[in-house]
Amino acid sequence: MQRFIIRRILWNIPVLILISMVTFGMMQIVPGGPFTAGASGRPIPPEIRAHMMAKYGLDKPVWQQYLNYMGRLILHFDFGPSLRRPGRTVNQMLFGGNFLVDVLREHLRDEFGTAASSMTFAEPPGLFDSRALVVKTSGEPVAYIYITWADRFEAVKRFLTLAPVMVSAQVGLVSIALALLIGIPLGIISALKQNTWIDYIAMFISMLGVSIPNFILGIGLILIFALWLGWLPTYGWGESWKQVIMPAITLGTGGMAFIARLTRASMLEVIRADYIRTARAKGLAERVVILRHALKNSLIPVTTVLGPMMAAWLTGSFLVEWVFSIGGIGKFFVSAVTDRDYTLIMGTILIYSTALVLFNLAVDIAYGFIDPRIRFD
Amino acid sequence: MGLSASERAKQQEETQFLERGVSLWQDAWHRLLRNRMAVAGLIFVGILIFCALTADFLPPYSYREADYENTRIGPRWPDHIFGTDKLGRDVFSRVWWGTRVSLTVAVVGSLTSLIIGVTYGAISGYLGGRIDNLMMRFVDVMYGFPTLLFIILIMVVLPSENAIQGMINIFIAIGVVGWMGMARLIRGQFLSLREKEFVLAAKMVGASHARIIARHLLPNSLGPAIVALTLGIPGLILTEATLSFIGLGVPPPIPSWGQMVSEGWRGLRATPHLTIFPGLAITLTMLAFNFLGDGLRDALDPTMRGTALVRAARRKRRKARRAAARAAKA
Repeated sequence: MQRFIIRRILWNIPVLILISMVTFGMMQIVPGGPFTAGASGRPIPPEIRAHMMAKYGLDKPVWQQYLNYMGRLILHFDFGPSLRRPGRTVNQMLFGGNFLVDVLREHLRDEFGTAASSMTFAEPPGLFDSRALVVKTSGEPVAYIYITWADRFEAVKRFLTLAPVMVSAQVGLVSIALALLIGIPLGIISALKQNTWIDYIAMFISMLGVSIPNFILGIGLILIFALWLGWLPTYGWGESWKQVIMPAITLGTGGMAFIARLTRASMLEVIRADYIRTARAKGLAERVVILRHALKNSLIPVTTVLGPMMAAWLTGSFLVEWVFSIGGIGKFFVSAVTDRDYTLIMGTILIYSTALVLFNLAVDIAYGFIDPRIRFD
Repeated sequence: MGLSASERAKQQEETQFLERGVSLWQDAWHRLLRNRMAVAGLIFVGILIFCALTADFLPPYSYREADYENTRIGPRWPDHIFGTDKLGRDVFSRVWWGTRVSLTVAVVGSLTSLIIGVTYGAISGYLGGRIDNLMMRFVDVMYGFPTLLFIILIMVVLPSENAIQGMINIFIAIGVVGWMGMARLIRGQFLSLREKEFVLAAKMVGASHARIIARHLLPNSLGPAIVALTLGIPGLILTEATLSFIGLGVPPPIPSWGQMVSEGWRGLRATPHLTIFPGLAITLTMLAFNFLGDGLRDALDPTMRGTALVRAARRKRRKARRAAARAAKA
């Protein structure tokens, strides 16, 4: 098992490299570039464009650009500057910048008052540095500020709650929890009550859930619960529990319905199997037969779809984040492509494909726990 | 076997009934008609086709006809039953025209993914071995690929001279993205079918590769392919609606439902009708195709074959028996 896991992890490295190469090549083939039009949509004069291309190294051969990019990424975890938003790095846009700086800045403000606004750090503080040198904008050193464990925890806490990646992951996590907690029981119940009105209603609901596009569901929920009834806020995330409900339902319904149908189908297959008849013949209680014997095996198809689903949902849904104005990374999946913001395209695609690869690995490992007969070597 | 005389008679009747030579398609059709939701889906799709064919002359207004005196009015009987948008265009007529966009993407997208998927899957499955392995790894890589980037690439590469051509290109691009599922399915079918005895028999009598593929393998893979195609249509319609919703789809003024929702939902509070009607249209269309596809799958499922007709025969017999009993009483 361990050997299998290690082999799978190693096998994923060339897959990721291949995806990064193809994406890098393909975005260069797509006509138009980051500097063909300015922010207002007016075309940029060719001289200026050439200058900008040279500044970001886009005038070099593609393979050289690729090697530069990957080198920086692997050695420094640096996704490069955003090509369409001057002064912003892709790291900032995806991970929300350096939260430790914010925490330390607050300490500076407590210490020096308004004078703190003219101070910076000689070097951006890392999470495991013991101290950071504070300098004035002129470069003159002021003092050392010592980094305590409280500061580190605060920075990590802010990253987990505020970073765009994490905001997207939170939305995805709540939606997946919703999809599983409703979808699986719904599927089991309708399989056990096959061809009764309970089954028909459950399957009609899940068909509706599969059919309704999530942006329309989201807009419909806003219309009913925010505008007409006024119960829930129309937008935002992370300020109140009320903001969680509509995005979670919007993103989760499709998956919930899909999981319900999948669970029902595999449950129907499993409860006709011989070992279930054996379990019943032994005189086990129906509850034990279903929950202990049937459920585990009927969950295998669900586990399979869970891998790609988690990868897609935890890395942010463009539509849900757009409809509910949530500041995650989902919106970059579209805006980066339409803007031809090359570095941002690479950043989002790499995050998504890494998540995909990891969750598929997790699914493969989970198989082994659900069904010990599944062996890999 | 300790079967009673009546049971034996019953079995005999059933076998006779089946031996009367009911073709797979006849049988499937009967079973489809017994599924109420599938029939409802079929009728709805029929209505959509009717709407798409008559979109040029039956609706009360043209989709681009603006009436600046009556902008943003709510649903009003009898002239604007779905209301009008910010340019005073009739929403009912635009939703009507929108069926054309959704059905065209269904047809063009399905055909595209069918042609590419069947060709690719047939080659991969028929050849098998190392080539098959290589071709399927390529499909795996395609799966992990950024769809949007791919669609934009294809849209830009295909030549377009006017809006309609551009629209068709989008649909082709949507279909190209969806071929992988079809390829996998056909490949799987071919892999299992080519080991069957009837293929061996065909080889024995000297059938060429082309003949084996065209006359033996393809027809036998048709059922699952049709089901996959029908079940894939909601996905195509959804992709078009989503692309139009985010502003990358069908160019205005051609009314696509997704684009109408995207224009309408910014004014959700004041003019909800601009969003509700096209939104309902998308949802109902997806629902209809999903029910139809589901019904088709159940109807064409080979493990279920014959059951509907057997059941129908049993029912007929029961009725006849009851009628006979009534007659005897009287």
